[in-house]
Amino acid sequence: MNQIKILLIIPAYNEAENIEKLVDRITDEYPQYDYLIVNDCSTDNTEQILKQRGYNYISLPVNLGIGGAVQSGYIYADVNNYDIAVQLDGDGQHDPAYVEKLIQPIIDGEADFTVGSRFIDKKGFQTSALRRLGINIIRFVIKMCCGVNATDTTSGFRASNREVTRYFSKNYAHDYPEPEAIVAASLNNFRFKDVAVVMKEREAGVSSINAKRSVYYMIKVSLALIVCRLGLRRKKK
Amino acid sequence: MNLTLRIFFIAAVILFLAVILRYLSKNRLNLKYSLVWLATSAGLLILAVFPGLVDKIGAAVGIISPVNTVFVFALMFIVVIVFTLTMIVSHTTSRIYRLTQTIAVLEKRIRELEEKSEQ
Repeated sequence: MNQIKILLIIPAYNEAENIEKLVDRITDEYPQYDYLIVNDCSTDNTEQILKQRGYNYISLPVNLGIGGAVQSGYIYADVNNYDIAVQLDGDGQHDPAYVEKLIQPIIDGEADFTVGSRFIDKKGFQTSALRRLGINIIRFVIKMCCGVNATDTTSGFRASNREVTRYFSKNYAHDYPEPEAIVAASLNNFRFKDVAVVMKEREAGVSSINAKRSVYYMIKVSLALIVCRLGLRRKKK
Repeated sequence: MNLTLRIFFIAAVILFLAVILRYLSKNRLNLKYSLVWLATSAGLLILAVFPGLVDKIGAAVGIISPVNTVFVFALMFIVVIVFTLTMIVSHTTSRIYRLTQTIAVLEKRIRELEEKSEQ
């Protein structure tokens, strides 16, 4: 366990209220993990906090959105030869206690990448009915696209081994990347596993997806998945 | 087409050409992207000097009114240009992403090296 290098990638956009609690918990209770906060050009005092507290962070000079921020973390993990990269939201929804469970299938060689799902055990914060509907539609599209059954398609709590990390550092979708990443990695013959986790409701700040954006989100994601499927099938021939 | 109109069109095209060349010399326009506009103005100049060509092209593809020939081709041309621009913007965007990410990773390395050298 000790020789495996694990990096927790924490994307943060205006998470000044949440970030300290999360990082202090990681450094106190889970010192075996390294972490990297990706400050996506926050407009609040997130960067100031990161600097003052001496946290391990990178700061994007322009705002790239969640996809670009997370990808920076994968680039960092690849450059620094991490064996496993774990993506964990900075808003307190994802409990670092579940990281161990999330990375276990990768350590055992059962899977190349895993996604934490709150819908397997149906415990903890289950989000609104409308969002669950959206997540299930995407789940259906992903199953059609690549035969993978991901129960929590928009979950940003995921882990990847070195090869998948390298792949993500080179190819990662820009604006709503979570479902696309599952499809892209699966179609590149990386093995996927759903892992049951419990999520909390975000403690402070606002979610990146509001009602107005959700329609755009659904259209964009469905289209992206289909295009992704077409593009990758062509590559394989 | 009467003479006044032809002179007006020719003058407009020459003005357009002058603007392109001016921005080119000031380095505010890439030579790569200016080629299409130089070719366009050359084409427009030919049409302004020989307006009879429009009737012939229209007759060849079956457009009755010469004005409609101009509109159809102009619209098609604009669609192609706008699509090309979207492609260029997409390409530029992904390059900005890559640059931003690289800067962020390098900035962290500089920070760490500075801290080390201070000790």
